[in-house]
Amino acid sequence: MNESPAIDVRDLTKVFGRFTAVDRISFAVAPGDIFGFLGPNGAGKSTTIRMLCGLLASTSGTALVGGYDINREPDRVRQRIGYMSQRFSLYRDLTVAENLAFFGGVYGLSRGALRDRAADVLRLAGLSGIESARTGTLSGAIQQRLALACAILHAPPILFLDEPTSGVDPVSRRAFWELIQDLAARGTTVLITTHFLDEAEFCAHIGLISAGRLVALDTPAAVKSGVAEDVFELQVDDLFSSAERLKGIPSILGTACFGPRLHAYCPRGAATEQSLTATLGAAGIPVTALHSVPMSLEDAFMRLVAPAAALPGSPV
Amino acid sequence: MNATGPDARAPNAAPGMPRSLWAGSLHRTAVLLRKELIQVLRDRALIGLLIFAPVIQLVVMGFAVTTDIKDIGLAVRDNDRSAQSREYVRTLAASGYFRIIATTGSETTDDRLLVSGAVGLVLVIPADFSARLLAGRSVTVQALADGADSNFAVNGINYLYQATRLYSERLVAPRRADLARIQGVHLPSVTVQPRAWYNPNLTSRNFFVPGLMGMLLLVTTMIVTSMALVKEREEGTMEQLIVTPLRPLEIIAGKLLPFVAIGAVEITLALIVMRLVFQVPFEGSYALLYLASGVFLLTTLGLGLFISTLVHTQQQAMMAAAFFVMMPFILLSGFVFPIENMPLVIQHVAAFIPLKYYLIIIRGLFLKGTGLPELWPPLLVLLLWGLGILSLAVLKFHKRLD
Repeated sequence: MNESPAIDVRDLTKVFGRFTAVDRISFAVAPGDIFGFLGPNGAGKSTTIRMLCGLLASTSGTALVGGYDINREPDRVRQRIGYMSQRFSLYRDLTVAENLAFFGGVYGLSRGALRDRAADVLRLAGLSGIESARTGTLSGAIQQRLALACAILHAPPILFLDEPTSGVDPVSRRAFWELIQDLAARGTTVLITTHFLDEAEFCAHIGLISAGRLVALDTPAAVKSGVAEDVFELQVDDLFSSAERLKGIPSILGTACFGPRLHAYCPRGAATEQSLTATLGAAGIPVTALHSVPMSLEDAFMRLVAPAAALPGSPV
Repeated sequence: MNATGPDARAPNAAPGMPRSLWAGSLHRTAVLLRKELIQVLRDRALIGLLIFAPVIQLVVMGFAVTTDIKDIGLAVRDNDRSAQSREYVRTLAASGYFRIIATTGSETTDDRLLVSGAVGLVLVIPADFSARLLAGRSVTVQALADGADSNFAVNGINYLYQATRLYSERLVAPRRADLARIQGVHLPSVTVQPRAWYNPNLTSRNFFVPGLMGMLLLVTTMIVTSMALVKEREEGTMEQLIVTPLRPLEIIAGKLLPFVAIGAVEITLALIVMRLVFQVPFEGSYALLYLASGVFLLTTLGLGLFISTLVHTQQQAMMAAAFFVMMPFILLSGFVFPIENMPLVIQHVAAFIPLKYYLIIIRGLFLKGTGLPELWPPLLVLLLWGLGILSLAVLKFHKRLD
């Protein structure tokens, strides 16, 4: 990175009582980048984003957002960020236009600038014409796009989106991501959290967080190739008992259930489709089909989060 | 710090950087105020709660809250049944305080009359009533009172005393006149000639209704303020509010000012009801009433804000307001029970209740026409209280979620 980063997080930590929600996290996001913050529910994603937005005070460590320290100059940070929270947080009893007028107003937009910007963001979000609707009566997908429109009303150079796509149908999710990529192309830095790992493909860089710790930080491709293992997809009759028995085989590091199939992880280059079929045959484990498959981000995440013992569970 | 390359479509001249600090602050407060007003005016239930409920309560409770006791049930057991005893009972009836029921039968029925609440007093006239009076001797009647309702019993016995003294005076008067005329003997006596200033008929309503106004002002503004802020937290909109450049003081000002306006409307409506419906006199200055009420609002809004910083749900806010503020305020402010009658320790506690001072002020304004020279000490206490609780609330109100 030859430019100074838009977001620069250094050893950020948050402790609630005896529970460490975020544990010495450090990362940097370049201007205009889309940074995906991925991990299961409760991993510390929202807590991190809330500290960066000035909603929570950090226990230790700090971060520079837009060049300003979140603890020492929160007001300057606020002026430069847009934030969309996990819960819909516009006023339901106000109309779309009233919500836009309020949020534009508190950011200091003049009446004329507000009118232009409101029209712009509504067009961008594909919501032109709904200005007089009561916000509470809109559908979930429209509310979510409206919340984004509101968050970018004051043209913040940095945007924080906390699980914006949870509870939204797949078509709307895709449309939403196109909107975000559009914003990034115009120079906005975006930090987005999600628990949908497939959405990581839209991000330039990702950070994987588990139990408050950052377990991987790179481009999606590099995160996948960073796990030095091969993946074999197995079709078996009894998923759970097979998964248990596979653990006993020395060349298999771990397993994970992917729908009706089982993924087995072996050290890179240690096994081929033929050798593994032979090994399983010798161990008396019935396998209908066995294929080598490329490592997905889900695989990588499973291996990074639980390297000791991957539980047969649904992917995150 | 342009390395972050703001959105190409951003309006120039960084939108959030206003010309001066003050102008920016005023602008943000005005924007918030506008939003609050739209929300309050759109919330019909809230408007009903704030404007109509207090007026209706004032009317209903104004009629109900009165300690003037009339029509006390008085059962009379006349064991004498003479012209004298009947005359005595007639005198009692003429006082206007009693509803008289003659009782015969066994004495155990007296007890039942008191227990059932059919009467509040039982008067027993002895069989030798007329005989002793005619002989020029004194006689004692017995009064049994239902002491369970002590206020009622005390008042009833007092009225009985007064009416009996009147009857007794009437018996003595001709003798006294004879003594003076024939024998030149004068009996010394002291007579009280009462004149109740400020409230000549001692109408308790004139005393209670202004207090009721203070009470209603406290309840409505405090509860609604505490709920207004907690509502933002409950609905998740507080999160969005915190990430904006709004400063804590701006949020507080924007949240509280609409309720100042509503408080002013409430006072005006209450004033109209009191003057027109209850014909409560108003001797003081209206300007002073609004000034004192404005100062009192500092306290009620400050308490509401303070409560909102302590609780997490609107329900908790309601409970805290009802239990920790309203109960002690109603009981210890002198709204119902005179503070002078309380034990000294409790009087010291009552000194911390701001409603006490507001009641002193408005009762003075309504009935006595007191002015600033007399009212500045309670006004000052009220002001200190208001500024104190408001500052405390502002200090506790952080722009954070935790």
